[in-house]
Amino acid sequence: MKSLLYKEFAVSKKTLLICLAFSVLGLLSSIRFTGSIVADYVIFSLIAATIVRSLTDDEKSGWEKYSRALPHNAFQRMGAKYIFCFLILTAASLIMLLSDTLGNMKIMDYQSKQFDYPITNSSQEILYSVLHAIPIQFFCFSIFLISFAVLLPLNSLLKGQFKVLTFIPFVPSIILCFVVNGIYSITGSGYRTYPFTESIKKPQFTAMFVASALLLFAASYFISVIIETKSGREKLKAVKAVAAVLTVAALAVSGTTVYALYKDGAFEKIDFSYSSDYEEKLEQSEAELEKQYALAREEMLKYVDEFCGETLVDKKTEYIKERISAIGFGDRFTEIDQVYSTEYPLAVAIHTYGNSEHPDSPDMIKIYANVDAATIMTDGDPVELAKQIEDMFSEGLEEERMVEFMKTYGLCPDVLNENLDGEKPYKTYCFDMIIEEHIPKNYVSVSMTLNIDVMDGAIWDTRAYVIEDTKSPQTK
Amino acid sequence: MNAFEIKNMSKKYGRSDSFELKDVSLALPSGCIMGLIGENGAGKTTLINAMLGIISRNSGSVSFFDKPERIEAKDDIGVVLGEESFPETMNPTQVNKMMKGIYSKWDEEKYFALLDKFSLPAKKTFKNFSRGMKVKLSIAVALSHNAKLLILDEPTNGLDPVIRDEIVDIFYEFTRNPYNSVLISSHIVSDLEKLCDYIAFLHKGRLVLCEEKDRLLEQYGIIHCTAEELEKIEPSAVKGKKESPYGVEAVVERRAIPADAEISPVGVEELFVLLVKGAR
Repeated sequence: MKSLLYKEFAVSKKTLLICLAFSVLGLLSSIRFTGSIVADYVIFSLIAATIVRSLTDDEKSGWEKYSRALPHNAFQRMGAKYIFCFLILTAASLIMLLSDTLGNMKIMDYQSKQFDYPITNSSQEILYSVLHAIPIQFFCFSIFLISFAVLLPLNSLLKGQFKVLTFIPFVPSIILCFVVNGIYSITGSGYRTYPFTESIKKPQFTAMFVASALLLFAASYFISVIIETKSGREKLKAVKAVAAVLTVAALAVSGTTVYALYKDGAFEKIDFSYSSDYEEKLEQSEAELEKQYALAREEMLKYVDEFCGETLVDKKTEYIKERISAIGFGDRFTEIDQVYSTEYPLAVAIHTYGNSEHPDSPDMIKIYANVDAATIMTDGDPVELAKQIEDMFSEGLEEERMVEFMKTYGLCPDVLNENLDGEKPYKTYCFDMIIEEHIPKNYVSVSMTLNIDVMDGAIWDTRAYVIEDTKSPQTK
Repeated sequence: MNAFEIKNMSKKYGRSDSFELKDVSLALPSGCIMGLIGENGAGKTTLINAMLGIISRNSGSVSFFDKPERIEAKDDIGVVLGEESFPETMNPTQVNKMMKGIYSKWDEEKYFALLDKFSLPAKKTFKNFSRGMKVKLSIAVALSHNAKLLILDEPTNGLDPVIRDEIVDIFYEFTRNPYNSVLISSHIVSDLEKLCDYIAFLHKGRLVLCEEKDRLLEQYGIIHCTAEELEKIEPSAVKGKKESPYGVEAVVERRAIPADAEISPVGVEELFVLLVKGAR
């Protein structure tokens, strides 16, 4: 059978090399870009076309017929085709998995292209990148495995005489692909929250899907052997039994998966119905959001009130975590679509406060902001925003200009006057910059690190908080 | 020992297809060459495909080398199925690598020697081969694994006379080994006449005759006579005839011809043509 397998690879060598070249390009581009299921589907389609071409070439050249005259039985002949199919789909999955894993990892330093995961710097985060990539890759893998599980027996049955029929198995697979992906998207908010426990369910369910696809593929192999042996004179009753058992097992695993998803509540959020009061609901929703923003800002100001001048970073972090979570501020961001990265939708809050009366800082606060944004595939441009912030800050902003700047960006400036020590009045500053509004909703991956170097001794403390979701705010 | 023996083999394609290979029994003793002749659509390829397990059979059995049909027997059988053989993107070197693992007695040196002999480029892909080159490559493969039986389905069909002659010589050489046998189908009867020990004649899916060639030529003759004279001959002895304004030309069994009648020796080609016409 090794020789028949060799033949499969020899025949498809050129097209496989082209696919490999595309995959390497994909791999390289993943340094900068995160992939999507559509891109993966394209690569898998190329691979599928290679397999289909190999099948049609066999028929055209007469190899299909010639191979039956060789000292190999139907198990070996069909085995070579199935193993070839399985191997290259697996290879494609692994390459794409690597590519998407790289894409999921955030780039900390945009300029120097360092690969780092900036959230907690924990090694687990790389695992999350992999875990997140698995469902997409193995979903594609399973879809194509099922397609070939249908196509290969059909090819034997029709003696390779397929023309239009060649593509029939791919029609349901393509539909299935987008339907299942749609279900994931609609129901998947719980799955999009790495590194939380529920997010692990997605790869788990995908694993079940892969298992059922593999079983179906195995069943298909035995069905193909039965069809092939009908062509010859071999009779294999046991093969029929194995095929039946595997098919039943595949259906059982698929059924169990769907049932498990149902029990898990995965389908509860599906609502395909069109509502006539959609616009009204949308307005209500937007009003609700505005309300939430207002509350959030208020909370932030409370935070500043409470902790101004203190340096207990942990306490502050804990506080903002509790407060902002409590009002559901982060929920706004979990609804951002197409967040394929580490699933941390983010807002950046910058709090700066200090004493403008300090002798070292008569009337000017110099803040140098360095925004590293590894934001790709966005129709907005956080990089541009970063540049603007950098430019403006590097020139040095007067207090009024800074406030104006913040107003321009729809931010939340405020100036607090407070006598902290009770003896000497200090003019303190508090700037709350919530720049989430400048991050487009349909970005794919945003990693924004806002480093503010306070170049003025008068500033007591300046911190930027990346509020990534309700459960995992991170301090930068 | 028989190189192969077919017993009561029948094959019918779909219900709408009127062709049927019916109850064919045939055996080839080891060391012999059998020519399978018949007009187009007579069932030669169907018979070969059915005996090799390429297509299913409705009934009958086949044994190779006096053993029941087993997949291992194919290790000793070399096949040439006309142009149908290797995937078009492969080259002879890749074919060698593949065949090394398929046939247990693959002889790499012999294979490359045959490629040289046939002037076949080792790195050129199959799709760039001419028909003659394709057949030659198939023959090189069939001859490179020390097969004891060659089954050749119209290997010389469509080739020019020079190449055909070369190929016939190769089969001659193959049968110098007394244990090697060849079953060759063709409707180019002149090739078979040079080569074969046995002639099997298929017509409309039925085996009309299967005899040793020499015996066949001894047994049958051609007479040129009038229609009235032919009527006097025992009808069962007349195997085929061709009528023309100048008289009748008929293939007859020599035993049924009166001693004084003029009878000319028959060639396989004439025999084939007249048998087909007679059967019609």
